[in-house]
Amino acid sequence: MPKGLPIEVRGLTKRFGDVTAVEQLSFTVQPGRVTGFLGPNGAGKTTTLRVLLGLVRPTAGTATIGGVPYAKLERPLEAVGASLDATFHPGRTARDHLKVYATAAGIAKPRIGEVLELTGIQSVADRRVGGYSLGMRQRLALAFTLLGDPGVLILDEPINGLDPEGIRWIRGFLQLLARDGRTVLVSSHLLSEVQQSVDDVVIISKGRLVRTGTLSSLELDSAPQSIVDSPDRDAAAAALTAAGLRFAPGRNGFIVDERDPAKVGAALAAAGVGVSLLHRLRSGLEDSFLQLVGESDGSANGGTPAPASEATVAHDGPAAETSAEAPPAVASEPPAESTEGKDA
Amino acid sequence: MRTIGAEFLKVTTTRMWWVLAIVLVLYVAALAGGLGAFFGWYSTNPDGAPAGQPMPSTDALAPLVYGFATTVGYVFPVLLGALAVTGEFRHRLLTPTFLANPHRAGVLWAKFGVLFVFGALFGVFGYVATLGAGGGALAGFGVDPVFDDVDTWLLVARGILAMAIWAAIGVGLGTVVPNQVAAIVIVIAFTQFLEPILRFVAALNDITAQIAQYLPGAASDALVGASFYAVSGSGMPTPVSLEWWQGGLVLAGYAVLFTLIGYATSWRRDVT
Repeated sequence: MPKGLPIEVRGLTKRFGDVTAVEQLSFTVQPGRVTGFLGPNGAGKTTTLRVLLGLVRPTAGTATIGGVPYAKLERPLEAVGASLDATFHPGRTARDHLKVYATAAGIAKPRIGEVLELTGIQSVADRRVGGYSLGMRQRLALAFTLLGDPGVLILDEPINGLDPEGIRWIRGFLQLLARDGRTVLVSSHLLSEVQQSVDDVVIISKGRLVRTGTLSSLELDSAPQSIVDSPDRDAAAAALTAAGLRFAPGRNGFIVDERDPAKVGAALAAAGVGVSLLHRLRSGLEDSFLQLVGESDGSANGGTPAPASEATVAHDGPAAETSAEAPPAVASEPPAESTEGKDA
Repeated sequence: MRTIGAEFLKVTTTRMWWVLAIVLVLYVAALAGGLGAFFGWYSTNPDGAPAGQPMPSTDALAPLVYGFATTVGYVFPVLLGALAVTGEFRHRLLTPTFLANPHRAGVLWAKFGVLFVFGALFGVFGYVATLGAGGGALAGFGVDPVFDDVDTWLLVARGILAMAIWAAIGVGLGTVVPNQVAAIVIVIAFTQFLEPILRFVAALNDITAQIAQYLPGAASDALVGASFYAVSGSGMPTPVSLEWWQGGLVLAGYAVLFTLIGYATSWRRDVT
């Protein structure tokens, strides 16, 4: 069973000329969990990963895998599988591509067929990569990362360019890898893209760490509100007022300034009012992510998390309700994002 | 050892090497066959020669014609070597390469060695072509193709060595100039125009002629022991030339020097 090793980044700084890509970045990634490495394009995610993989020399600080820099790993591909950009020699077949690097890393040939099968591209493995779709290239990039059956997987924007079926597949696959005890670090510029697959998040913006912790801690912070509805709205409003809860009417019920839905339910139960709907408002997750990373396109909400409550009420409606219950469907990914380039 | 195997596969799993090999064979075969036929015809019909133009003696004919494999064909191993490196930069393949083996110097010297072997293979192809086409043409006009002379085979061996070193020079050049288009332009411009002109002009003066014998093409010709310039430049003072082993050392020096410079610059740079 491959061994999951912790990834540690300590005081990492990288400057390209007078451009500072990463500054004083520190975080730890634990084995057995899927960690989302999030931040807008240009935040320094790819630079951090390249330093971690020994491809870029840091200006200051260290990045280690199991306490060892990548270049010092005994058999690197068998410890760490990494896919950074899905680039290949267009004139080489997928099988030959894998054969070249398996040979370089001393990995037995039968493994090539296995990873081709695992990633579902064995039927096109003997075609030249030049004719591959972006989704097929992503799968080949993943096949490369799996060559050494590594305990640590580092994937840069692996969901970019995948079709809905591919996205669903990779989400399940990442969870499966983490359940084996492997360390899985996945970068993305969209929280919604990885929200369903990650356990932990490391969020950076402009090269600096802005947040690290579990996804649920981020959810709690971002959703200080609950939604409740009752067949008898007047009675419900009275019960909420009696319990001292602040609330505002929304399209599908009341939006209550209380992060724990249990307290809201208790207030209505105490007044003997029936409840037809009760849950935590989850629509705030992406908003709060955009707020954390700064002046992103969605920062109209203001500077601090507090005013978000007003903003949410203001545009409460279909958007808030749909995302409140069901996480966004895979097909709802904005297609424009899939063709975007990665940060430097 | 694994790295050498991987570098070997990198060459054989794309089409570039055999496309270049085929062009090399066709090119030098046509040249050796054509000039072999021309010189063969001339040596049997001395009256038909252009007036006042001294032509190579029959003894010098065969080495000259066979030597085309290197003296004309050397641009192909250079291109193969340069493309082997610039392709890694152009297709951003240094990422998986250095992930599989983070010891960058080891990767570069493995490439150097593997391309040296492919250069030698190109040499074998080239000499099969010139010996076949050129020797056939000479024999067709009754000139002895001197296949039974050990000097012929020594020339072939030195020519193959030169081709191997040229491919290694290509590796060095590719690391110094990682931009693929720029590298190809430099290879073609230098080997086909710049160096021939330099050698021609330098031969006019004793001092510059001393310097010009260290140019890579001149060193290569010295190593092979056959030069088209020695003949076509007749009428000019015969260009000075290094001993064959000196030429070989100078040529190998270029390969190592370029590779060291390239390693210190592009090869060690951040892969972004």
